[in-house]
Amino acid sequence: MRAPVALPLALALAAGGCALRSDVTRVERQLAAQQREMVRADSVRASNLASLARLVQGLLDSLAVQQDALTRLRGDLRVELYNIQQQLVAIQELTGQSQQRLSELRGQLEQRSVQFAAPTDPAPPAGAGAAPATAGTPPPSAPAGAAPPSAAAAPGNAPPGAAAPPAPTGAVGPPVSPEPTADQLMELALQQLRRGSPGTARIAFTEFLRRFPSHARVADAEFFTGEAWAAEQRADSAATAYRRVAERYPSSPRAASSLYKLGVQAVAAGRRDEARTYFNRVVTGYPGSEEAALARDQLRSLAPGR
Amino acid sequence: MVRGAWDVARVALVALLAWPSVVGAQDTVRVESGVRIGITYTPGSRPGIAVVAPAAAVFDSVRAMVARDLDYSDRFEVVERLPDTAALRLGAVRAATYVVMVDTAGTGASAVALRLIEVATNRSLMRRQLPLQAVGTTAWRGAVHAASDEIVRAAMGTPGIAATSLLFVQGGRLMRIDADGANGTVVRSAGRPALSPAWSPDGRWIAYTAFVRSGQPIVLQELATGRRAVVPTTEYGLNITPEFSPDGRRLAFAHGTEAGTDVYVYDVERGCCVQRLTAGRFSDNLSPTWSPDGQRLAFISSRARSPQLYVMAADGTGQEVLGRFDFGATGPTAGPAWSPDGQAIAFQRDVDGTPQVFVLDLATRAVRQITGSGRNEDPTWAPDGRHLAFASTRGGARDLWVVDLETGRLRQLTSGGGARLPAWSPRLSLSEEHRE
Amino acid sequence: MTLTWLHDRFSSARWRLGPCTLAPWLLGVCTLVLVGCGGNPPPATPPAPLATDSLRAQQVADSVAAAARRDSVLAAARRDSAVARSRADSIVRAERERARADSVRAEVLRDAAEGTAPDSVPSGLDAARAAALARPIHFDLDRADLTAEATPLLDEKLAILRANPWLEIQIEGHCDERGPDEYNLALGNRRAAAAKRYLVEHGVAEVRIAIISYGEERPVDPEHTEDAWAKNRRAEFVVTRGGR
Repeated sequence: MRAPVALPLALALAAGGCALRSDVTRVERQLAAQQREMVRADSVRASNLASLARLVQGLLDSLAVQQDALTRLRGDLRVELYNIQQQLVAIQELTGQSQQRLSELRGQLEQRSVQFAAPTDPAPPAGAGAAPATAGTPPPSAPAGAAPPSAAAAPGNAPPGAAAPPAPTGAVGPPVSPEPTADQLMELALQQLRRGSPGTARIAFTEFLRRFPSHARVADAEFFTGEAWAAEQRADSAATAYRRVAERYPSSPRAASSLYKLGVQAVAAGRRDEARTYFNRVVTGYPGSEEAALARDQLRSLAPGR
Repeated sequence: MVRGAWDVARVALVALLAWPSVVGAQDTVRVESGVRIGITYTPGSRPGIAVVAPAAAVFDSVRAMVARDLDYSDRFEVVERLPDTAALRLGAVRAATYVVMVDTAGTGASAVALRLIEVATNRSLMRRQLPLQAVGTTAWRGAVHAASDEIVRAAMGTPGIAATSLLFVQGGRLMRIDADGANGTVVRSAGRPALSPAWSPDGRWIAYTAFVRSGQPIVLQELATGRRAVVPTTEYGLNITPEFSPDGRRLAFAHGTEAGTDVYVYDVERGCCVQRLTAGRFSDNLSPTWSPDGQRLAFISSRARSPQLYVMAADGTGQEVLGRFDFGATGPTAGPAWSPDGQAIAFQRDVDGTPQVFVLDLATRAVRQITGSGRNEDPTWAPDGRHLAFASTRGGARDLWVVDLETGRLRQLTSGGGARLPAWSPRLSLSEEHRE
Repeated sequence: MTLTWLHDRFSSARWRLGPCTLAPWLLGVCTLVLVGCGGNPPPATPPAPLATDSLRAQQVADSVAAAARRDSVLAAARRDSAVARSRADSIVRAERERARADSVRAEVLRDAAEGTAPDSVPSGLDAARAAALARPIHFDLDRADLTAEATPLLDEKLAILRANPWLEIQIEGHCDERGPDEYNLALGNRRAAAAKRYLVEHGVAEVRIAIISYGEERPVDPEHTEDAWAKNRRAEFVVTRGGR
């Protein structure tokens, strides 16, 4: 068994030995060539890599510079944005006040035209006639209406200033009839509320709502009815009034106040979930209002885990 | 039944409508809380009053104090230099409607008696005894002042303001002075200034901003003991202009952060629950002042750039500008103080760059300028609702002055300069602390 | 031999680009080896230009991938550190605030009269930088917004604060004597806040800057002139934590 195996092996070795010498040198040459080739490729690669690394480094550096510039820009923008927001809030506030002032002036103008139309004959002094005639054209009549209050508010002329204010109200005063104007009735009711007579105030507000159901200040009347109830420690009745304001006059600024007050009432009564609902309604429905900011504070302190 | 109720309501309304026009017509009529119906004050016809005392040092000092208190109440014409009691027959003092007799109480020298006599009827309207043991002390002075106030009440229906003091700031120190300008004391003198003093309605506590090394907290201090406490959350940031609510249960103050300054309210009674009332949104909201019913707060806000007077409900709702202002024309406004009768708010406003004191009538919204000479700042109401104290440079240096709004009479309260931020106390009862 | 070479490549790659790039390099090297020993009968001729090109393309692709990876790793690291920093900041802030509150209460209780003690501590900066940091900025009348002259001054401080992250400062807002005392305190507060906002928005950690207002209580010039007022309407910068 051994001889047949060993024979081909010996033959193969002999043949191999013949092949070996020439082949080995060939393989060695090939290997050497390969090695040279590899070394060459290697150095190419190394230089490529080095240049790439430099490239990446440069990119990163410029990125860092850019990032710095960006940080700076972002900072500048934020500071600028803050200033703009600040101005915007001031402008909003002033707009609101101008509107309030305009409606006041309009009310005064209406009052005056009513006064002049009723008692005086068709040929009044020129100045007096101008007011009702120009009711539709604000520019000439607005200064006429604005003059007395600003003169009264103007500092420095204390004696005339002190005498001036009763004039407009005094002019309205004498012909007081059993039929007061809406604004008179409202002012009167508010005075009663602030004087500590909520019961009387409430009657006056009810009277206001009965007489002037479509007046611009009905929301005020409903709201202050609630305030009057609250002053009498009647939380439930107050809540009913506040809810009515929120439902019927959602576009009135009193709606946000009413919802907020309902929320505060609910907190005081320990109904935290209900309070959260009210505060959320203020925040989502009237996000720009003062009440929304206060409601956010309240929601934070109502947050679970506190 | 319902109809009947309505009729009653309408009658009430008509009466109410007629009423303010009466008030409005007469600028000088001012309804004060606690005033008896029927007693109205007519300017220029102040009743004469004489104070007479036997010629002894004790009596004379009492006489001088009472006479001055009555004079400073601005409700009487004090008749000076009368003959002494021995020569006095009541019929001889024609100039006086009232006479105050200072005398021994009859039981020896242990007490001083004060009697108010109406000359026309020779009727005694009031009598009060002062124990003599501690003449000259603060307690003694307080007792005499309180007696003066009682005399005013007996004659005029409303007590005077002699038994009150003012807190103010001078050179960073918190000072206290009696309403007659005497008895100045230092309440707090630390190396750093204290500002914005305020009284609790019972006169026992004060609140102020203390500048300390690491902050500007609001400090509550008991006057009698000097006990101090820091209002929670005011350890941080800027904290100024504290003001007790009229019931003494709450303290409103301004708290400044990096986002602006806002009005907050602290529950003094429960010692907790600091709540924000304004949402600054880039503006400053400060100097809250309570309406006497505690339902509303007036405050200063710079939300429309120029600081102006605003009002809100005590829960922070319904914020609106109070009193007209013309953007760019009306000067910056500061330091509001709601009058004790609730009808008016005093404040300071710049006129040509100089602050002057104004009073806003809440019913008519009319604004009246009170001062015109020098810089006039920080008005504070006396508890009678007719006197205002303020800091003024009319005499050269900045000192405190008192004006009577009804007669326009002015008097200087402090001297030495540098006085500011006065806060007039409520009427101080005798059971209040006895400081030395 | 190949192994040594691999090892060299390996460590040089590591040295050059950091540990995060090991895996792609390893992958790349393996590919190279495969490509290099690609032909079953090893070609007697030098490798074709095509092969070198593809090799280079591969390298570029690899390095780009590596750079991208490196960037994303860096971004993640930055994000993590930002989160960690803000968490650390809020802890630091809470501690600072507690300490401040305690000291405020303590000072009120003993009614501390040590008012003249200096607020500042040595900054550890050289004189020029310390002066630049301390230089006050000024404001217009009744305004708290930064003027055109103020921003370059703040930029100087910004550079110093960013270069010296251990520094902490307090910004003090001041006003001139005109205007109501209490309103001026609020105004001074807004002035200090405006300066702080500028620095924080430009990258200084919020906890490093405290603000305080002195209103008109601490004028630098007590005169009653326009000049004095202009000098007094200012924000000052005081080092509260310095040294290294």
